[in-house]
Amino acid sequence: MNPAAATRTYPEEKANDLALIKRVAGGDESAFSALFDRWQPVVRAVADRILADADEADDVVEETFWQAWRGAANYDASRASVQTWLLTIARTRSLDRLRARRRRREESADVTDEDGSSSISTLAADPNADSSSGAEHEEQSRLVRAALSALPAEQRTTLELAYFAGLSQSEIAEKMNEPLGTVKTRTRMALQKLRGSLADLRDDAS
Amino acid sequence: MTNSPMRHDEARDLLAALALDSLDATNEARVRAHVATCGECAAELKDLRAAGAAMAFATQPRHDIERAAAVKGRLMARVQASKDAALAPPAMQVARSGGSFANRAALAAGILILASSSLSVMLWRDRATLRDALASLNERESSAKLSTDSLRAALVDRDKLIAGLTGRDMAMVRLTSNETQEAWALMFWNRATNGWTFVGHNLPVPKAGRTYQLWLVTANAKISAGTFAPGSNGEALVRATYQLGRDALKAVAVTDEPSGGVAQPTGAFVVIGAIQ
Repeated sequence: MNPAAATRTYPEEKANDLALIKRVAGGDESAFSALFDRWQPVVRAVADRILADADEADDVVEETFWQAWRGAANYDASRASVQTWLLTIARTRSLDRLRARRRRREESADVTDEDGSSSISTLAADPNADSSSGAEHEEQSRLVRAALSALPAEQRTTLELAYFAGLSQSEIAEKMNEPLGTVKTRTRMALQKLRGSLADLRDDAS
Repeated sequence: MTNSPMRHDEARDLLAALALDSLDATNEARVRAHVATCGECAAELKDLRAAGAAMAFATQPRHDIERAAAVKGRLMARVQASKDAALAPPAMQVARSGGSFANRAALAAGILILASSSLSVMLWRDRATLRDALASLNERESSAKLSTDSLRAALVDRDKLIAGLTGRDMAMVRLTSNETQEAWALMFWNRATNGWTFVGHNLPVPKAGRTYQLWLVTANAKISAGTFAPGSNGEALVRATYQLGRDALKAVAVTDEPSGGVAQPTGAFVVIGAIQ
């Protein structure tokens, strides 16, 4: 484990984020700059993974942080952490673009497999990732990858198709050739296990 | 398929799918309706959303220094521009109208022209100011490089906006509100470039945890054009690029949605307008 990461606690990180977002809400550009530096690599990773297009990922990063700047005053900490808030914006923006791309391809009858089903391979070390990434996010990435690896393959695939490909439960059922009820059960079990595993791993790491 | 109230255990089983925005529209509405009245499910959903958001870390964070710097430059220029705009005097005043439908229609048409032309004048003036500032900085060279980059980004950004409003093949949709007469907006569709420019006025600030989401409505689909929040002055500017058939657009709408946006509209209309 990265020793630097082990000395940090998640409550501390949340407090740092909250302090930053409060300053951003007050129009503090230096806080906005710090928020960008802190979360841009993770936001970019999500957009890259969903869109597989660096230019579009650029646009998503810009849109995400612009929305954060405009919406910081309305951020409600009781509803979601800053991390969840930012990453939800980034994912929604990315999936909007992915779905628009799919629609364009469907309209031109040139449908290609773009559902993220090959994404399981990315659970292995990503050779393109920069090893100098922020320690705390690297550590969090390690925890999530470990937790996902511990899931049965079909549960992991279900989660990835929902999160990274933005597929509905019906679409996942069709894709995996499984009954809809099975997919719903898998989704519930997988996300509950992921939540539990992350909590356990964080306890071990702290 | 039914719209009847969902039982607690039935809704609880679908919270994970909702947390991943993976439910179909009907089930999503039913689960959301239950969650709105059930503290236990609301707390569970919040937890599951956090776990779902952690999926972002399944891919290692990426440090692309050059791309990050370019995006950051554009963002900081937008931040500066928005601050400058907030300090500037209002560019136009819109009269409130009463009277007959014909008068209102005539006034509405006038407003469209005035709004479009006033906006263009304002933008051109803004552009000239930016260009002058850029020229001045270029003369001084070296030490002002960072500021120059920011202004250049702002100038390019403003040029794109002007192009989006002044193309040869433009369509315009006026959006109004049933709830708040003061709130209105225009959507400019540049069919040649597939560029969409939404300009909102007097929009109420969304409540905490809520955002506005812009939709392009066709006969068969409601296509998200992104989420936004107006400034404290009620003004909003949203740009998007989306290819749509010439006759496909039926209406444009803005709905009130949870922060982060949704796959399909679930909230109340803020403003809406049909294409003429």
